[in-house]
Amino acid sequence: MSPYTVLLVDSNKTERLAVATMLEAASYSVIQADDGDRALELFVEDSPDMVITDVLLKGLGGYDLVSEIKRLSISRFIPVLFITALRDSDSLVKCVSCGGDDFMVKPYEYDIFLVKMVGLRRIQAMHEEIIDANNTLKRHDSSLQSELSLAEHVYDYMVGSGGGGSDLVRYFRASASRFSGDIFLSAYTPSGTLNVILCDFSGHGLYAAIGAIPVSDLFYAMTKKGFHIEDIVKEINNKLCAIFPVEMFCAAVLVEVSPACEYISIWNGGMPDVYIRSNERTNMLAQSLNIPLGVSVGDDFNSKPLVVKIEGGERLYLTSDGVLVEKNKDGEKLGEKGFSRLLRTIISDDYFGEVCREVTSMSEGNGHADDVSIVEIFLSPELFPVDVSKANEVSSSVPRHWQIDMKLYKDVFRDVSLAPFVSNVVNSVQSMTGHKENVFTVIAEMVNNAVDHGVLGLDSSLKRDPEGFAQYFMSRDERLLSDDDGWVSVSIGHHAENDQGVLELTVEDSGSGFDVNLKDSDMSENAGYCGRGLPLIKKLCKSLVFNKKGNCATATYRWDVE
Amino acid sequence: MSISFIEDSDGIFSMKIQGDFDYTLHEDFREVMSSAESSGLSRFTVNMSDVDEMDSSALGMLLLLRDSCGVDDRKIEIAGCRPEIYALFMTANFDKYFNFI
Repeated sequence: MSPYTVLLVDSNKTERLAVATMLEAASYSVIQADDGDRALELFVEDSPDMVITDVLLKGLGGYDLVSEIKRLSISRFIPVLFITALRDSDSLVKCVSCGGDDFMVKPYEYDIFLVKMVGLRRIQAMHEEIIDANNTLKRHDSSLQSELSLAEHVYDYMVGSGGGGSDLVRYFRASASRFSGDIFLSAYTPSGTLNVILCDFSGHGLYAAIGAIPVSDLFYAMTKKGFHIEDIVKEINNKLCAIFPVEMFCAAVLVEVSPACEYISIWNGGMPDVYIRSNERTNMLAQSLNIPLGVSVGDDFNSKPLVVKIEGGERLYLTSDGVLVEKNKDGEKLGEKGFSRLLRTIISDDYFGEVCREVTSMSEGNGHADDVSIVEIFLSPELFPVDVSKANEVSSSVPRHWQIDMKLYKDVFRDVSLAPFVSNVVNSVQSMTGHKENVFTVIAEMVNNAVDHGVLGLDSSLKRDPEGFAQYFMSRDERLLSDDDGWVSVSIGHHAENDQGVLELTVEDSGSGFDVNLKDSDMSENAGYCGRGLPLIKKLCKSLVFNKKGNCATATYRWDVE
Repeated sequence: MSISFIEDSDGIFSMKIQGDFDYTLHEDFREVMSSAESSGLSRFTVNMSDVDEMDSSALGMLLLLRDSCGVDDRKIEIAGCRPEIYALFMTANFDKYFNFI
């Protein structure tokens, strides 16, 4: 380690030599200067660790020398100690006011001299520590900034435009920090069902960005495959519990809107109440009845949604709790009651816009404590897309020859939605460009009929009114749990014929069937879970044939190879 | 915002949280938890009567506490919640995880 160097400036040679000897005896390395100008030169050339100087010097005076030294030492703290014979307070005050750190008045004692230097060295060491810490902090901050940029990039890609999936949905958001903790996604299933999710991760910023990845991945992938929100909720919950630490969870609300807007399913775990507005009246529809996602995979987690029959034309409102914590100028929070009052009292042609404005104007530009998200879903049958087939598949499909038979007992379809399951099996063997959605619809109708009416024996006429509707789904849940040997057998065959692919789907169930001689109008009552019933299958398929008992149906679907 | 704690003669660890219960208490909370763990304690009382505001990070911290106690229900008592704070637990349906007094 190099010795501690002191620049000693004194025009009196005898005194200077005496001090230099003393310093060297104390193991300091001494550079000497007898005038101010030379001292400044030496300071620049040799970068001493400390400067000790007299006030009265030949050439550049002590005060000016020290001012200049301090001006030059910006990045490093070089202590300056004056040694002087002057005793008047003005001169001594100037020692410090010109930039010096301390002074010693002659005659001085060497012990005191040395100890003052020790004191100054201590301050110097502390100073150096602070600069080091500061530099480390700057480095960390810089790498944090680039990590945040990366996370933002990934987040934007995964979440995309979020609400871009549908005309029926409007999304308003005001972020508290760089990333929104709130994630909003919407997408259609192949059969035209609209799935929507609004979720809020515990914590802020980076937590949400990281959480966005598995949530959006699962939501989009499963919706594309036709899964219901119940399945999606289960999968997201499993994933979050598996990969994230205990203290990280995600409050979420999911809504599923059937294609003809006949019913909606709502799952709310930890989010504020969902409101519904019809005929200019707003009411609470679905409270948080479940624990948030990512907390537990045990029996305490319930994935079953609330199913509600709707008329068509209503509007749903979802919010994240940032809305409820918005404060007015008196520091009062909006709260559930306040928000509910707001929803009930606003009258405007642009109701949604007005609601958003009212909420955000509360904080009057003071920033938001938490992310504010408000979603409006307009349950309008007219706005639902007729054809959701997207040109995802690039290559045209080749019809192949294959046959798949499977028999699924009740314990399978208790836990798994059969329609996407069967559909995925088909898609993994045979791609049918432009027809995937129709085929999914056919599979879904037939399989769901088999489960609901065949195995479970439910009566779809119950679904005609709201109370009956709720009862229908409650019965469905009950009957699914009972321990009998119900089964559904699915047999799918496919072959090519004259530039067409021919798909034959036979679904048989263990139920007692129905009267196949019923007139068509009665048959249309026999609506499946998706609600559009057997007439739709007849429209899409070349043929639909039942066995005598009525518990086995075969549909033939032909498609043109493009 | 602060957390203080005492260990009483019955082997119950009492924590008191004052001010805003949020992410800034994260480090302190973990420290308190580890000192409790090293004493081998598994029953807690969390006094929230002086808590002004609580956010989702706080719920997360309590879940962590519950997890470290062994996920047996109701080993953690939460005392003195204001109605507003209690409502947050209810929205998350966490009432089954903690014993509220």
